[in-house]
Formats: sequence, C-alpha cells, structure tokens
Amino acid sequence: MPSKDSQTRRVIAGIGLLLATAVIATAGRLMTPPFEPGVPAYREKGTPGAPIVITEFSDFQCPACQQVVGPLHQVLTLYPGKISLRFRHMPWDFHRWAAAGAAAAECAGKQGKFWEYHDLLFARQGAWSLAATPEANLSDFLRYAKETGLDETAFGSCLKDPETAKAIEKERKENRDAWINSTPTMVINGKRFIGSHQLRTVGLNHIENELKKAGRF
Amino acid sequence: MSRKDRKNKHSEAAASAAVPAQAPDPRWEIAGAAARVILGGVFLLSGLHKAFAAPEEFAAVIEQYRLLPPQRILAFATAVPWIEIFVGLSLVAGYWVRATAAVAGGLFVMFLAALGSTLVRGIPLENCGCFGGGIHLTAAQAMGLDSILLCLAYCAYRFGSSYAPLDAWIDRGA
Repeated sequence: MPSKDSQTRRVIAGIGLLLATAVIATAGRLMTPPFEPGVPAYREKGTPGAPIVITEFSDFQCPACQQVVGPLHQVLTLYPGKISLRFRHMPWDFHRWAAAGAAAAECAGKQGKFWEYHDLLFARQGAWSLAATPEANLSDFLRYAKETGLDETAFGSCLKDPETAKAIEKERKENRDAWINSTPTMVINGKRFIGSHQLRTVGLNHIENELKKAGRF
Repeated sequence: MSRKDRKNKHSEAAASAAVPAQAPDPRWEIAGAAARVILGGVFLLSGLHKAFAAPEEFAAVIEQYRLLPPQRILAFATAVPWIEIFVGLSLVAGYWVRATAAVAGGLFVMFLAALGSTLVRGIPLENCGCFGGGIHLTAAQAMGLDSILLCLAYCAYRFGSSYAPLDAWIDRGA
C-alpha cells in the first residue's frame, strides 16, 4: 500500500502536470491579438454599420469556399438590413491559380465589380481551375472581365502590376498571423465558423443570438 | 534433512527460479522507456498543433466523422488538446506510467474505431484531424499510424515504468 508521503507526491505531481497543460493549452490564445481586419469598401456588401458583421476568408480555387457562396447569400436574404459581409483573400499555395484568381477579383473590385467577378469565379471554378498554363489562365480571366463589363486594358495592367500580388500576399500573411488556417472561415461578430456546415448549424444560431442581443430580432 | 529444512530449501529454489521470470530484461526496460517517451512526444505534438490553432478548425475536421451532434463538437474539439497535452506530458515525465499508457491505448482504440467507422460508412476523409489542421493524413494512413502507436502504448504499459523520473520521485516517498 502506498505511504501517505508517496500519495502526497503523486497529487503534487498531478497538479503540476495539470497546471503545465493549462499554461501550454492557453498560451497561444493569450499571445494572439484580437483580429478585426478591415477591407476596402468594394469588398463589403449588405448593410454598412449592420449589427452582424461576417468576415469571410476565402480562396477562389477552394471547392469548400464555392459551397459556402450559396449559404452566405441565403443568410444575407434571410436577415435583410442586418448583415454586412466582408471578403478577405486567403489563396492557398497548393491551389495553382488561387493567387491569380484573387488578383483578378481585386482588379475587378478596383473597377467596382468585385462581387460580380467573385460570383463568376466561383460559378466557373471547375473551368479556370483546370488551366494548363499561365497564358490559358490569363485568357480565362480576361474573358470573364469582358463578360462582367470591365475595362479590359485597365484590368490587364492591374493584373500585371506587382503591387496587386504584393497586397494579396500581405493580406494572406495578416490572416495567417491571426490563425486563419482553413478556408472558408467566417468570423461572425468575432466568433469563428469554418465551412458551410458550421455556418448553417451553429453559425445561424450565433447570428440570431447576436441579433437578439442587439434588439434586432 | 528436516521437513522445515526441506521446506526452506524448496522456497529458496522457487524464489531463485522466480527471479529471472519477474525481473524484466534491461533491453525491454529501455525499449519500454523509449516507447513511453516517443508516445508522449506524439501526443504533445498532436495536442500543440490543435492548441495553437482555432478550435473551430479542429471542430470542422470532427464534423466530417458524423459521430457527434453539432452542438457538442466545439466543446469536444476544445477538450481534446488538453487531454492530449496532459497525457503527453505525463508520459514524457514518467507520471503514473501504467495508468497513462492505458489511457493512451484507450484513446488509440477510440481513434481507430472512429476512423474505421468512416471507412465502413464510405465517408471520404480529407484530413483525419490527428494533428489538427497541421499534418494531413488519410483515414488509412492514420489507422496505420494509430496501430503502431497502440503497440507502443502496450510496450510502455508493460515495460515503460523504468527510468520514469516522476514515478521514481513519487516512490521515494513510499
């Protein structure tokens, strides 16, 4: 039978390990500053100043991001005047044309047609994602620019401008620093939801709770 | 020789015969300690990958298994890294080795059952979630890894009590 001294030592060791676990498990959270990213006005839709702000972190070549476009649209129509939707670029390196897609959407945004181009990129994801060469990819994006009614010359020079890619890279780094490691991530009034399933289940509950808190439900 | 002498001789012989069977081979002791430390390291790595990321990301992986109700998933995703870090630290530090190795083995049986159920139900897992969003393994790869780790847990349970710093410290008080 273990002596009292040995039992005391076991309890002390157990408490020490639990404390170490608590410190390690919470350290990362404490070190990470709150993330309230801004976006240019052309990447925001819905109602400015609405009680619910959804910031979406997305990659145009990611199939799961395509699947969340419909549910996000439904959320906007379900709560008219109560939602502001913001888009943040999060193109993955392992998606060959994702950064180019983000740049194209950004160039469309500079001409005031970000959301039209956004919808078109997701609707045709299966086509442009399969481009074999950068030239084929560029030709797809230029064709979409024409369809969206953009100034093709301005669009083309914006795509070639290194500042466009640099700005997207900067945004991606900011996202990574704030632990955005999955797409699509939706931050709804500060709380994260990942993928369309979380948005449709716990995400909708969160929106309703937030609206109740704001006295708008 | 008296009956008492014969009895004493018999028990001495039994004791000397029993010693080699009870004392573990030092090579197994080293293997057990190594298994314990490796296993603890894997648990720590896995727990840290999850703890240093948003729990919602691990929750999104757990959703794919379709085993838990949506309302419980986030709590589960938040709790798992704590359990993994605690078990990992306990194994590395050699705390209550047999009990923590048994818990580790139980966790691997649970992971294997969950992974196996996805294969049976035909759910294509993009990422097993073993290391959160960090290292992506398919269900089959994860089952292979978990089977190896289950063997290590058994080895740590049987032979890992030697060279366990915390247990040695605790036993000094016995």
